[in-house]
Amino acid sequence: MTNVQLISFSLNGQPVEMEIPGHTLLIDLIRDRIGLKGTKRSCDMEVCGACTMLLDGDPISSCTTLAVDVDGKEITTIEGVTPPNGLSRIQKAFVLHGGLQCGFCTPGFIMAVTALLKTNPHPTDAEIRHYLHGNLCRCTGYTKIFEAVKSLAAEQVSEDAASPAARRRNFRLETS
Amino acid sequence: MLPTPFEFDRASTVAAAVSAVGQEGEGMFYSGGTELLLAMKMRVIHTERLVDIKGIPGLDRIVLNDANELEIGSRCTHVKIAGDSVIREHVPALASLCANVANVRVRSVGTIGGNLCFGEPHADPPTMLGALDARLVLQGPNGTRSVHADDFIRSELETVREADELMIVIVFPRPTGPVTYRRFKHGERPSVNVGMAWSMEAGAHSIKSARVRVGALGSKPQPLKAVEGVLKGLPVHDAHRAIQSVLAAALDELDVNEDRHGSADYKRHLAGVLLLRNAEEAVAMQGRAT
Amino acid sequence: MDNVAAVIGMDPAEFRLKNLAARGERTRPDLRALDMDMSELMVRVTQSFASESQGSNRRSRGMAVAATDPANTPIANAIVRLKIDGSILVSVSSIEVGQGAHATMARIAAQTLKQPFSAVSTLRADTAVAPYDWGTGASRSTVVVGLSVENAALDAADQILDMVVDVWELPKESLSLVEGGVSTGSEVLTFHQIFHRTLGVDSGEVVGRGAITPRSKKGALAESPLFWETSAGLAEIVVDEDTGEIHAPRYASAADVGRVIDRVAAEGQDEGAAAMGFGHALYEQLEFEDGQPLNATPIDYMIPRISDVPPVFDTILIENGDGPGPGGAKGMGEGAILPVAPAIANALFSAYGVRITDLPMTPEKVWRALQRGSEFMEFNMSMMVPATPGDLWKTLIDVPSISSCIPGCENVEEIAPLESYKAMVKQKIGPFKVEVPAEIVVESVTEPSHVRTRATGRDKFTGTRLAVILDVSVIPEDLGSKLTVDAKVDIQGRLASMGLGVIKRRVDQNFEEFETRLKSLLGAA
Ligand SMILES: Cc1cc2nc3c(=O)[nH]c(=O)nc-3n(C[C@H](O)[C@H](O)[C@H](O)COP(=O)(O)OP(=O)(O)OC[C@H]3O[C@@H](n4cnc5c(N)ncnc54)[C@H](O)[C@@H]3O)c2cc1C
Ligand code: FES
Ligand code: FES
Repeated sequence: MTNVQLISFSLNGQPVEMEIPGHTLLIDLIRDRIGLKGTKRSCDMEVCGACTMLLDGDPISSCTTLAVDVDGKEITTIEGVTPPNGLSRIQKAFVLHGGLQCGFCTPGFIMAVTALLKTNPHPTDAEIRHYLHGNLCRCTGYTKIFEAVKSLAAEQVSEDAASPAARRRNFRLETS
Repeated sequence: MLPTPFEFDRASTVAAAVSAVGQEGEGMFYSGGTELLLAMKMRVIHTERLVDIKGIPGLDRIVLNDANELEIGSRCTHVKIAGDSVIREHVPALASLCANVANVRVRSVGTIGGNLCFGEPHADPPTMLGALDARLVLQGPNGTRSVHADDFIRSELETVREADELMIVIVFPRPTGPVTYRRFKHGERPSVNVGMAWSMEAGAHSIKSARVRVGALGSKPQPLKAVEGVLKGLPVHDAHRAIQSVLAAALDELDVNEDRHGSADYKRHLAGVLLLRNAEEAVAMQGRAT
Repeated sequence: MDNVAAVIGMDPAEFRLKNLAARGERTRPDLRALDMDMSELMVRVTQSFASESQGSNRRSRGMAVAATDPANTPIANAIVRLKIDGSILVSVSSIEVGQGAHATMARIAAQTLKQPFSAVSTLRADTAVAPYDWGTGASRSTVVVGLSVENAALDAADQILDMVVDVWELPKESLSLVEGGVSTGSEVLTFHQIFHRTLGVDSGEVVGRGAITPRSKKGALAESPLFWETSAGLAEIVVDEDTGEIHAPRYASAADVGRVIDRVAAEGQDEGAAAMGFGHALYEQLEFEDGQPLNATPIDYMIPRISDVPPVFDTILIENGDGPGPGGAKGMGEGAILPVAPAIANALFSAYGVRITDLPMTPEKVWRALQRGSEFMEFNMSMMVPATPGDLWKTLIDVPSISSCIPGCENVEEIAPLESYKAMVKQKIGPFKVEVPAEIVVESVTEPSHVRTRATGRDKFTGTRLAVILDVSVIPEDLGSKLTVDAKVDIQGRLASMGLGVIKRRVDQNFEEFETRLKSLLGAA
């Protein structure tokens, strides 16, 4: 059986090229072969969201995605959204508001919220609940997770201002 | 759990995909994989070859064609349909259906074709597409054929599609009247769902014809013929009362499985509730439109 | 509780307040006397809703209070090491599973040693090196292990102060711990200075040891439970009457925690517990057939999601500093699970008069209960009338005169004789005025022996729905006829939620009045 596949993809911005058996699951590739253990596996059936990664920016269940599917694409894991020294603004908000207890659901929530805020920086309460409906948490009762996300939704994102487009805008303002 | 090993093949044309699946040994099309991989991981589905159809161009288009029909490519994900401007304009109820299927991760890779081809009885799109009078275009080794949405699902997890027929596109006439859809769920998937589409007489005050489908109750979506009959030719504002007059008898006709989603009388009752709510919405929509 | 209150016609909160065991009372002779006021919890949850008047007639509220006897076994040990650089290591056998035990221990050590929280680390528990503890569970760690950490920290403090007493020859009473060292009153000696002068090297630590046993605190910890874990919950629910689905837009949870050590963490414990409560109240149940679980996957077993917990959630932590733990803390985190299901069930009962006693309250169960209708508010009467059945029947179907017997019934309008009528029913119930335009349908007539009518309507002011089914039978007797009236009264909505007991009393009064007027109309015996 010609089951070995050569795949190349970008993992958290780094190019990766490797040979894998065709039936390898993405989560196993990332956790066991590459060794990034931040992503968690819980339900193993696309229900809980603990294993959420971003595939070209869109959230997916890595527990039920074939590793071959990332060939030629960009994968972002929790490690990829965590700054080298410290925490991202989303992670800080979770800590500040008590949006985690055991932490098992947290990487998945952080990834989902990352994807949410990227497409919709100021979601309404209903949009937050709708988007996070598929991330389960057994500890917090969600109230503090919701508060954390709401605080981010209300923030005038400073990174907005720092985005390349905004920088260009500012530059033009200064020079005109 | 890991799926058992299989050969992985990428097809770049429909013909190549069809022939790859049709080769010796059992092959299956692989789209979003949200149903298939789950079943393979649970080891209830084994396949020797997975033929990935993601690389086939043109299968994820959504257009309003020259015949005034909407075409939705089988590879369109739920996210894509939910956000598509053509669908949002002409069938907003389908856009919102897709926005509420499963969860954000399943929606971003799971496709409408995969949903239909899996034949899961507790699914949303089959009911809606039945009400929309859709036909599903399949391409196999001997050419293409179209199957009406009502005839596509044979029973639980079984469709009339041959293993080496690829679903290409879903086509339905652009709705000319209100389209409504509701579901009730107390769990991961719908316990009951009801889709209804009206086409209107000129002047838009009377219903020319109505299609009503109830899903998730039996092995596949079922029409409510009595309700369709009574709505035909009726002024819009009489619709609600007319439905009520035939509802009990119509619901009795439904084939209902008792299961964890509820007992038969409760599910029948829910179907009636959803239908009446759909009707109220349709009346209101039509009121706004005229 | 609410059932009893309804039967005697008392407000359920008032009924509880009258009967709750008070602080200091014992509920069982072998258990510690109550160390809290459950009434205080009730008042606090009620206050949290007070700012909002009842939103709409489709919303109803229910309350429950609960107390449980969690922690016992006051046996734990802790080690607190204070190092030359001011860093502090806490070693305990409490297992951190997300409940915040390690952060709490660190806070207790920091507060006792007057050092910043950031200076303290709690070592990951390893029973090969961490001292013995009875176990992590039963809401006991903050109290029992917390006290042992406090003792260990005091022991470490003692040792460091003794060094200063020894080396600087100062009286111990003049010394106190301050951030980064010890204050002598006139200057601050850093930990580094103290270790350096005392030990003669630039390294070192003091190792404090703390133990809690049943004999600690003069045996005060020996009685079970160590403290009472209490919680009150007030739920506001909206029921989709057609499907039976319950939504809770609002919930308030109050717990008596003695003292809060870490507010965000403590609130999170209660909110998580309440969400578990919502789980078993509305969704969760493992089903079996032939010994096999039917819903053992997360696709089939439903737990609450972010969209299922009440969007308005008030978490109230009561601090009276009266717990046995450090600074008067009690344990917490279990209590809030208790009142959720009964509070929701009480809300359902107060609005609809239906009582569900097996969980979860799934839509189908609720729908069936609503179908059956409320089990109470039935009224029966029978009387002897000295008239032939035929004559009695004539009076009965003379709608204007019979309706004059119904208190508050006005403007009777005949739509179709012996088929349908309209009327206005006006009532004053306590401070409330009710005006119900009623539609009356004669459902069946068997001349001259039985008539069944159904009256339905919605109150103009509160939206309260009223349905009365009246079965009237005429039975021939030796000396005339017997008249029996069986009525089933169903009231749903805002008025019902204000207390069915009050309404029941009013309905009873009305029927008595009806009976009196009918008797005088018929000249009955
Ligand atoms: C947790 C969860 C919740 C869900 N909730 C809902 C819900 O609420 N409502 C609902 O309707 N659905 C629900 N679903 C189902 C979801 O909609 C489907 O999983 C998804 O749409 C399937 O698409 P796919 O592309 O991933 O299919 P795949 O898994 O790739 O394929 C499914 C089947 O279809 C075949 N196939 C796929 N594409 C084609 C094609 N073009 N031609 C021929 N055969 C094809 C495959 O061979 C396979 O047999 C849920 C799924 C999950 C996992
Ligand atoms: S582990 Fe993948 S969704 Fe739960
Ligand atoms: S923090 Fe434990 S599951 Fe969410």
